Amino acid sequence: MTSAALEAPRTDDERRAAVQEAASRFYRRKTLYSKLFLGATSLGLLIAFIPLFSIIYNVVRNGISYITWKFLTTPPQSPSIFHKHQIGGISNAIEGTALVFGMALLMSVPISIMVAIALYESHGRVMGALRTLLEVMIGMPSILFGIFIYTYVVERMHFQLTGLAGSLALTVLMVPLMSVACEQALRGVPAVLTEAGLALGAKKAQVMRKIVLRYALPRMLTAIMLSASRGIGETAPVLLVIGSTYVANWNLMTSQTTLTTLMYNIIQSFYNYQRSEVWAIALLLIVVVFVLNLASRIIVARLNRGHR
Amino acid sequence: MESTTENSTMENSPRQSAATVGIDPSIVSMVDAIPSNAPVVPVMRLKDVAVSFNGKVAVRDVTFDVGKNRVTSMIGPSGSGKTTLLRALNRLHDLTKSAVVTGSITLDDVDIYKGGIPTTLLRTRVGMVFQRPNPFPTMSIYDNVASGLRFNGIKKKAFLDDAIEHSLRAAALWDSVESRLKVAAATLSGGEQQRLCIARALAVEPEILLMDEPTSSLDPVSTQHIEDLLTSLKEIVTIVIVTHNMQQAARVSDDCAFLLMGEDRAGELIEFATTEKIFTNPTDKRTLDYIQGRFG
Repeated sequence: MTSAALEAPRTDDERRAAVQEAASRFYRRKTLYSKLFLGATSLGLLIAFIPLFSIIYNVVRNGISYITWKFLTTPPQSPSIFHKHQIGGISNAIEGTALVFGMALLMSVPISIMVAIALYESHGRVMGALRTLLEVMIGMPSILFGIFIYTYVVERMHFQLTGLAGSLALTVLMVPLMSVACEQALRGVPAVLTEAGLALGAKKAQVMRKIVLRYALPRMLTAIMLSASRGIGETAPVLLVIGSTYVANWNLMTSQTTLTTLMYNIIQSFYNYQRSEVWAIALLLIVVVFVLNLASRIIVARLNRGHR
Repeated sequence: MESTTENSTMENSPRQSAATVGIDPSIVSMVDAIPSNAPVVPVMRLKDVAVSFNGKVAVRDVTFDVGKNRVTSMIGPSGSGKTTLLRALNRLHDLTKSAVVTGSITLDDVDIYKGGIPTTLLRTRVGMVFQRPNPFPTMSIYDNVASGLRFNGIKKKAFLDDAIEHSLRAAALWDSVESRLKVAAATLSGGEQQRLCIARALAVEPEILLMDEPTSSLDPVSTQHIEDLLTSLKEIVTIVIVTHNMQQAARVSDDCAFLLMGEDRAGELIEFATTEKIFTNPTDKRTLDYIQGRFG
C-alpha cells in the first residue's frame, strides 16, 4: 500500500486529490463504526429497561385486581384458616403515609430551603465542610437514620413507637437530599441578576426573596419533588420507629402504619393470598410517585411560562 | 457652520491638530468639537484608587474627577482594569471577599468607603447598567422598572406609575412598551432590554450612572439608539461609561480616562483629559499609540 496518498503531495491539486481519496476510502469504516456504536447504545437502553418494564408489568398485572374503593377505604382484616381470602383494605396505611410523610414534608421543606440559602450565601471552609457532610449523608444507608431516631427519640419516649418518630426519621433522611439539590437550583441563578438587584440598592435578603428564590423556584420545586419521591418510598428508617396499627387514627403520637411498612409486614404473612396484596400497594405507591412527578412538571411549566 | 468659518477655525480645530500627530481624522471628527463653557463641577473624585484581589493588584494609580452632568469614558485594551475600576465606584466589589479597594473615592466630598454612607443607599445614588442586558426574567416590564423603588420602600401605585413612565421615557422606550407594560421583560429584543435596564437604573433617580460596555452585546442599530440616549441623559444624570470601542468614547464622552495594563499585568491610569484632548493631542505617547490603533 505504498500508494501516492502516503507520499508527500507536491501541488495543491495533488493534496486535495489525496485527501478526497483517503476520505472516500475511510467512509465505509466510519459508517460501520457509527452503526456499531448505535447498536451498543440501543442494547444498553434495552438492558436498562427490561427490569423496569418487567417490574411495572408484574406490579400492574398482579396488583390491579385488588384495587377497589373498598380496598382503599377499609382497615385490614387478618385472614384466618376459615377465611383465607379475607384481607380487608389498607386505609390504615394510606392514612399513615399521608400523616407521617406529610409531617416530614412540613418539617424538611422549610429546613432544607434555609440550609440551601445558607450554603449558597456563605463561602467559608466551615460551610464547605458542612456541604460535604450533607453529601455524605445522602449516601448513607437509610437504616442509620432509623437507628438514630430510635436511639434519641424512641428510647427517650419510653420506647413508644410513634408516627412522629417516623416523620423525624424521614426528615433527617430528606433534608440532605433536598438542601443540596435546592442549593444547586440557587446556583443556577445568573450572578448578573443578583448584581442588578444590589446595584439598585437592594439588601441581600431582598435580592434573595424577590429575585433569586423567584428565579430558582421551578428548579427548587423539582428538587423537592424528587427528594420527596425518594422519601415516600423509604421503608427501613420508618419501619424501625413507627410500629404498626390497624386503624386510621390521625394521631402522630401513636403508632402508625405506612404503605411501605405494611408491605414489609404482610410479605411475611403466612397466607399466600395476603402476600400478593403487596403488588397492589406497590402499584399504589408507583401511581402516587408518578402523580407527584407529573404535578411538579405541570407546576414548573406554568411557572416558566412567560419567561426564559 | 463649518463651511463658512473653516479657515478661521482651522488652526484650533481638533481635526487639524490631529492630522499633525497622525490620528485618523474620521475618529476625531466624531469628537464633539464644541467644548462646553460651563465650569466642570466634580461630583465624584477618585484619588490614588487601586483595586486588588487576593493581594494581586488589578488596577492602580487612578486619580481623576468625574464632572457633574458630563459623560466620562474609560477606555483601554482588555485587562487594563476598566470594569474593575467601574465596579469600585458603587462598591460592587464588596461581594467579593478577596477584593480590596484602596485610595479614596468621594461622592459630594464624602468617602464612599469610609464616610459612613450605607452601601445600599450609595447604590441608589450611583446606579449601574451592565454589559449584557439583565432584566429580571421573572418580572414584567413594569415590575422591572419598579423594582429599584420597591426595594427602597416605595409602594404607592400613583408614585410608581408616574416614575415608571418618566424613566421609560428617559430611556426612549415608553412609546414601544406603553401598551404592554405587564408583559414579561424577556419578550423584548436585546436592545430594548438594555434600554429597560437603563430605565430601571434611572427610576431610583441616581446622581451618577455607571455603564459597563452597555452596547457590547448589541447590534449597530441598538447601539446607535443607546448612544443617542446618552447625550440626552447627561442632562439629568452624570455618566461614567466603560467602552471597548474608541469611536464610541469619541462620540459620546466629554472626558476620557485611558487605562493600560502595566508590565506586572496590573492596569493603571495613563492619562485623563477631555475627550477632545485625548483624541487630538494626548500627552502620553502610549495614549497616542492606542488611539492610532497600534495595539489593543
